Amino acid sequence: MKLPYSWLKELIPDLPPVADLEPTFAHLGLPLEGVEDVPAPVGGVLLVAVKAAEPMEGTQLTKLTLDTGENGEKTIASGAPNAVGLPAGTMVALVTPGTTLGGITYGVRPMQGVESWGMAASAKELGIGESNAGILTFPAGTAAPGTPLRELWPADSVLDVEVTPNRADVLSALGLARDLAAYLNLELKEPQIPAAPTQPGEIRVSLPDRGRVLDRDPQGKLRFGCDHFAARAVSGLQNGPAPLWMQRRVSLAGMRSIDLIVDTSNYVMLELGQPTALYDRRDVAGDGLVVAFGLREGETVKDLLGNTHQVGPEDLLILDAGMSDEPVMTVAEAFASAGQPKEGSHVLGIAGIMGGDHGHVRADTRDVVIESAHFDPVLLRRTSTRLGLKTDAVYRYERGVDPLLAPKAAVRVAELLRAAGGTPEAGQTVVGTPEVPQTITTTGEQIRALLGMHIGTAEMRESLTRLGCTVTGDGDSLTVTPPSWRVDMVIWQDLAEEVARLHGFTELPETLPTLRVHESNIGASAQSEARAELRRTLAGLGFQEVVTYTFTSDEEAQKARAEAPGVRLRNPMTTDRTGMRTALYPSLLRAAGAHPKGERALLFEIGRIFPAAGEQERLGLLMRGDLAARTYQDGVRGDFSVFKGLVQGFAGAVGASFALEQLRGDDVPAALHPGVAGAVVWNGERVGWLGALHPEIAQEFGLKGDTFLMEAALPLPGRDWAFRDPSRAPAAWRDLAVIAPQGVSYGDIVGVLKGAGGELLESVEPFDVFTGEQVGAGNRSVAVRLTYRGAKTLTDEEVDPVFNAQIDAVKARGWAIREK
Amino acid sequence: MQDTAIQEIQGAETLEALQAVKTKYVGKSGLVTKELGSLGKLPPEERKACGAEINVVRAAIQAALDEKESALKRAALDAKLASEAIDVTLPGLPLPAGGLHPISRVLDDLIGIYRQMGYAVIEGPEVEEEHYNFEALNVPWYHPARDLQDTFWLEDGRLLRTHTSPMQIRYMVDHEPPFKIVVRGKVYRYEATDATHEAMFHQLEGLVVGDGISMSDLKGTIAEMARGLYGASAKARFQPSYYPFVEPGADFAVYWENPRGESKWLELGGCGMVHPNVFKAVDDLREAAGKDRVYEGKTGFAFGLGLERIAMLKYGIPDIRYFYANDPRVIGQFRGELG
Repeated sequence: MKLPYSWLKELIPDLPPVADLEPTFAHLGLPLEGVEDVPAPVGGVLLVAVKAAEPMEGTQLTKLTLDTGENGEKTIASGAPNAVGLPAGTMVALVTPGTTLGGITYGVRPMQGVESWGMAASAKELGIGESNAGILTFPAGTAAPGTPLRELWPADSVLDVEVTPNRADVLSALGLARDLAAYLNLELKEPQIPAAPTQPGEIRVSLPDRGRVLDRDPQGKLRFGCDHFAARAVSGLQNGPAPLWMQRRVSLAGMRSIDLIVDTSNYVMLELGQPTALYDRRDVAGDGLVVAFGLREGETVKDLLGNTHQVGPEDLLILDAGMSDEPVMTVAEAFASAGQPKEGSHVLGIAGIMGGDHGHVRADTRDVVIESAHFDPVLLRRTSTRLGLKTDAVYRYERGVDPLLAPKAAVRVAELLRAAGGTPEAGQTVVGTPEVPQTITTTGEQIRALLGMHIGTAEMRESLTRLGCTVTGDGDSLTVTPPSWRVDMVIWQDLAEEVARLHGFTELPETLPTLRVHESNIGASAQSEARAELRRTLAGLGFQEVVTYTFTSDEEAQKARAEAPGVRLRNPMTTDRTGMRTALYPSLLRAAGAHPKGERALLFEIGRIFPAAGEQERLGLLMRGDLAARTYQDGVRGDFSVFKGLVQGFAGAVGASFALEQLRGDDVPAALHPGVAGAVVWNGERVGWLGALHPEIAQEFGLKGDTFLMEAALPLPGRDWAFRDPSRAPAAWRDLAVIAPQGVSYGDIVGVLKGAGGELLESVEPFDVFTGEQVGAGNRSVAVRLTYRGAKTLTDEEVDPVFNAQIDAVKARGWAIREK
Repeated sequence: MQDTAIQEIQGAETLEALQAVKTKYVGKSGLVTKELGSLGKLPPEERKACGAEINVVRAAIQAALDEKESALKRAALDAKLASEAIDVTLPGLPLPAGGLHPISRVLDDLIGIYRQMGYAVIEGPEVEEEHYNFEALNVPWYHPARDLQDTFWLEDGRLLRTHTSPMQIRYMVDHEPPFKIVVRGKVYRYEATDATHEAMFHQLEGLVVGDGISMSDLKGTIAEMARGLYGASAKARFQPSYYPFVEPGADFAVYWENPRGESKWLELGGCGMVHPNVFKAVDDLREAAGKDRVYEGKTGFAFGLGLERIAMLKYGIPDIRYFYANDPRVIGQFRGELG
């Protein structure tokens, strides 16, 4: 929220200089996002009075005849749309000849036959506002003609305050000043606003008598939409430019100055935090304002900007009372049965969000009706979110406007309009029973214990009182009624925060929690520790960790032959991120693709995937290129055996048993080459797959040369280690060559040999793999060394029966033994 | 004979030649050995004196042999070593050097600090129920705080978690207090990416629940983290802020002196005392799952911080988009390779 420093200074006369305020705001939890120094307009810009405004025939220009004070009468030609028909006496900001503005020096020059003496400027041209829609205009009599504008529009500093969603109370100059004054313990000079009239006015108001339960509300709260409504009529206005001081404040606060009536409404919102709506009384049929829910889905409402919105039974609207003499009391009566408004009844606006096309203030508006109300924040937020209408008003309502403020704000608007020549009616209509913050009871000790900071109960009382609370209770007990504007103060912990805030968060001591964890938490870190070990081990083996985006698209999944993404984004930002990945390897392929062509990639990722079976964590490995490139000496080619060897080493280093089972046919994952695919068996359990990337996928990803992949589900199964005393007895060996069809894997052969090997068999190691005529077409010979070991030296009589049993088992499978 | 023998020993240029000299004089049928053998022929009164004389000669020859042998062996070894010399400045076999991602490194630093303080480390799902991500954390569907966290909604009504805080709920439903945990993981925000914003990033979240846990415990914990991250001179600062799932709530900053000698306050994250509505939501979920209500009346604190920012500051990485593009020239810098 933006506010000029000078405004706060007016409310707190002893406010320290702006340069000293940054820590103050930070300590209050209202950090300054920035401080902008807005310079005064340059000296050559004068306030001058319009004597006449005449259209220049055959052009879009207006000739303005001006009283410039000491320089006498001058003329200019202006192309500004609001120069047309400017009433005599209106004051404008004139850039006089010889003045340099934005690098341009203005002079006297003829324009279409008019000698144009300088230029009438917009706020933007003068560097004092955002608006470039027209020239600045001010009411007649703002200053003596020829007065430099900077005398009335001095330099200022605009504070940009970051306000968290709970602090609706500081979304105004008064609210911010209140918090600053409480913290700094300085006197607050509130604006002088007369008490609200006690008698009702001419405008009748009716509130919904039937509530709504919003369909998503788990509490099922019955909402009536509006619990406080003040209405006041002001007549005899002449709409035109707002007073200079008001325009200045509104534009320094970042809003556009429009006209007297709109600016007044905005000014009061900026000053007090209460949004108001002002209607042209000519359009308020029956002199009645009706707060009502939409009757049915699909009602169309046109707003004051001309945009149409679809509203329904959960949206709160403001209607006029129609032609009836009786005030309309119910929603049903506000609309005729066919869903049309009651005869002559009009929608004036979407409550608390935006005014309607009907009823809004215009240049010729003379009589207005002020609406100042407290609406249900949830209802309004709901409507505003659905319609995509975020206005300054609803921004405040959805965060929580002071529920008691409505009548006072209506008076403020009326009095400002009185000062501008209007006549407020004597009475003011106020209806509703607003909900105010509830009393909270606590003790000083409870607050001290939560904060862990010693603050005396007396100081707590004083702080809370400074913040506007009513504090009672004896001794250590605190009975606190928050002020109506602090709708965020609900529980005693909220009071603790306020007390700490005024005492200073910087004063919090530093201690450490001492606790003995409950037994249910023992071992909670197990998976995290296992993961850390995997990561460190892989990095130690030469794998580079990558972290990749978890998003994917149908196209990428299709290219990678992965499961199509089932977890899909409702609001994708880009076409390559429409869902969540179903496998890790496409991400690894993408990462490998980021490597220069031909360069080695040895990558791993631990990350989550989101297949139809549910979210799971995976480990993925990828190898491409040489393990070691050839340089002045031979390198090491990165083939399947190297990749598998690295994974074996990895498994060994983390203490897991590892095996690959050959996969064939339909069992081969779609990612893999059908002939180079295995199931990863980790500590005896199948956890994933390992193999060569399918060459067609490689082509899709633009990856030339072999790519090897592994993907496994986490957590990996662990195993208990049991110590075995190493046998000191020497080993015995037998060599055996098994001839089997080529479709029989080495793993199959080892399985048979181990199955028949009994306890004496220690290991099986291949030392020769051979295909050729000697072993028959379609066959393969695998020669293995069998190592046996027992508790003591083994004799042939002990080894031979085992060896023979293994030979028998091989033959029983229909395989042959190759004789030497 | 002695002089001749020593001359021959010293003249031997190889171990083989030396062996021949050795055999010639002190071998089984060597000259000295023969002399000793011939002692028996001498009269007993001469035998002793003559034997002693020959033994002196033999000892002298043996000593010369030993000395020469050792010298020849040393020379042979020197020659062998010289022949084996290689240029060690040639590069070794270019085997891969692995490495951890910079985010992992920063996480490891932080997690190490919290492990030392006795925190358990957990992770959790990234696709989350709206209830866990918002409602149970005291962010009802209508709450303006939802505007602070632009959400990736999923077609099935779930969402990509916008913070690691849903794990507060999940953990408390499954475990009883007291406990100290940190949660690490990816989170998602629906926002356009630029140098400082990513749709996917990482958070570390802490949660401590027990009896009598206070906000000063939270401050002390953050200060310990600051010292662990940035050294003994680091300090922590709290300023009031607002997160719906804590009350009171604060933003924390850490005073940091970087290696270039600059020092400043870094806004690192948010924290606060667990809001009673969060404990109530947890107990409601526990009750629905047939568990005891054990959280109401407890106190606790929570904190959360983004890791990318810490990594960017620590390593001087200028653009958050570097982290997940996985350019080897970028991520390869976070390991031992020089140049």
